[in-house]
Amino acid sequence: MKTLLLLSWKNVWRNRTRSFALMLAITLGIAAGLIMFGLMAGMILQRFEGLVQNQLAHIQIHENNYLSEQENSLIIQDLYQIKPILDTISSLEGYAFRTISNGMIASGYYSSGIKIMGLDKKEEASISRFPENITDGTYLNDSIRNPIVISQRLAKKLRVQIGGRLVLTFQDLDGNITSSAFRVSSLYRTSNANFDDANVMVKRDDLQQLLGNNEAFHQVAILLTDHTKAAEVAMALDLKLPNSEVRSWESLSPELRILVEQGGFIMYVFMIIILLGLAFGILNTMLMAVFERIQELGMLMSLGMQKAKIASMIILETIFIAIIGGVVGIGLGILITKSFETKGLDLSGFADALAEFGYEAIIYPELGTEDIVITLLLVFATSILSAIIPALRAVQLNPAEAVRK
Amino acid sequence: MPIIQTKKLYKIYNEDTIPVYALKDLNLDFEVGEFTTIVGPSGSGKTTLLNMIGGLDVPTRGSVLVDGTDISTLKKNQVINFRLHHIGFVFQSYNLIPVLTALENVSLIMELQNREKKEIRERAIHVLEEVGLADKLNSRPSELSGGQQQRVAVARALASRPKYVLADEPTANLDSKSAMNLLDIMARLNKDESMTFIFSTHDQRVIERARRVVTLVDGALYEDLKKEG
Repeated sequence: MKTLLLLSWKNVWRNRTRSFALMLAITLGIAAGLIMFGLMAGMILQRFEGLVQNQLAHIQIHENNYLSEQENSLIIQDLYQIKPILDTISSLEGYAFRTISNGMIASGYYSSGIKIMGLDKKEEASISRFPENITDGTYLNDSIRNPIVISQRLAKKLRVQIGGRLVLTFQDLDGNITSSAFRVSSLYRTSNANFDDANVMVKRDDLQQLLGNNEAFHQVAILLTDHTKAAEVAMALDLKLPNSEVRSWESLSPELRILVEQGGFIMYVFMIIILLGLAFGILNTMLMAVFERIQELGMLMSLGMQKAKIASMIILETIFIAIIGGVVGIGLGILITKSFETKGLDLSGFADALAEFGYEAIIYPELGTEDIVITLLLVFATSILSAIIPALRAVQLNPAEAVRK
Repeated sequence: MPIIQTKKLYKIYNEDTIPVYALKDLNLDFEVGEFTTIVGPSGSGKTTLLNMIGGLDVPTRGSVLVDGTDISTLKKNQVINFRLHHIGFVFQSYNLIPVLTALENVSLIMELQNREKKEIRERAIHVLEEVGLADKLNSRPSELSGGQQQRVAVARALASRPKYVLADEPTANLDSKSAMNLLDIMARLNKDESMTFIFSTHDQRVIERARRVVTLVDGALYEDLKKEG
């Protein structure tokens, strides 16, 4: 085995230019793949965190049928049971009771359908980092009457600024149309344009007063310390709360679940496509190496080298080249990914387009150890697979003929 | 008892259509320590005969016995193993591995035989000294002349102490001086190590040095001349 290893290693350096060119191709391919891996993982994570932190949380509790009918009158009946039950959840990070109404927002210039979120700043602080999205003004400013937080995009459409007056119109709990004036206390901008266009925030007390019930809650948003436990916790809560519908983030946002669950798979598909391209490069190079050495391979077979050893020698040469290229590629990929991990990759030039799809303009790549190990294994497997044809070609040689080529 | 015997050996190509007889009813015995050349015009079957007794090709009919074992009936892996342990080869174009040094090239067969590291090194150095290349142990083939490369090839063939050495036109690519030098070395090793050498050649210098000259014409034995002394 040692002889084979030595011979294969020396054969790698027989044609340095060719070996270096192939290693470089593998290095660049793997590095590009890993960078893409990191960026996609970062984008998915940011989208997940953005949705969870801004709106979704990990679990939501609503009155039965609320999610399908969106009726203001469907307020939570299990109100007094919920709090003690929530306090028993071991993985609980925090929770907030929310009052929600669908209605219209209007300025002197424009009006639009809107979802009005009645929030309690203190409760929200335990589950949401939404105030980080504030770009101007003070989040739900207590010093003004009926403060409202709207997005920059909506402010532009409504042509209002901080301090501007807006009218919200919606149905109260009895089904009567009610209107009230609000003052813009702050503007926000998230990475999700659709969210920005459709959501405004007001103080929960203000909304409850207008709805006509100070204990009207439509949603309890719950944040856990571990998002993977959401479905399990939601199921347990659902059994304990007969009048309520308890759903985890996976069920509330199926597209986010698919993104999180399938995102990794899709990235591996991309990596396999890159490796497939590299495999043909390796195959071509190793076939050339075999054709150039027909006489020598014939000699080795004549002298009594077993076919399995001839094949192993070709495969080992391929593995050496692929592993060197792969390891350098992984190193380069990690280096570049890490360099963007803290400052992020700034794609502000495409901010609007990215926001349309709900993605941040600054992407912070994420590269897990598992991804790196799997990539290395894939490189290893690719090199073996792409060496099979050259190795078979080598062992099919007739030594008596090959030695005289 | 002869070390190699060919019995009613035939090699026929295109037997079912237009048969071409590469070897025809060859019955030859080779004794231990022979220094034999196989001569004949191009296409007379010299290389085919060497391939047969080297286990690189199988006869259409007849048999090749080495120490009483019919090597043409061995399985593929057994033949490869047989070549590894019992036959030394010297090729016309040297066929050294360019990335290995002279010492590594000579050691290769013994390493494939899984011999002791110390034994391999000592034997490889010894045979390289025997062929006059003691100062070229760490030289690569590209740093050696044609004659020196062929001497390394001879050393490689002898290093594992095979039963016999087959050399296919070993002097064909060498100048006169190198060829004579190589023949001197092979004659000495033949004598000192009682090594059986069988050459195919066109080279008159080789034919003159041989103690037995087997002449083939159209695949059949034309003459088998054993010289005195």
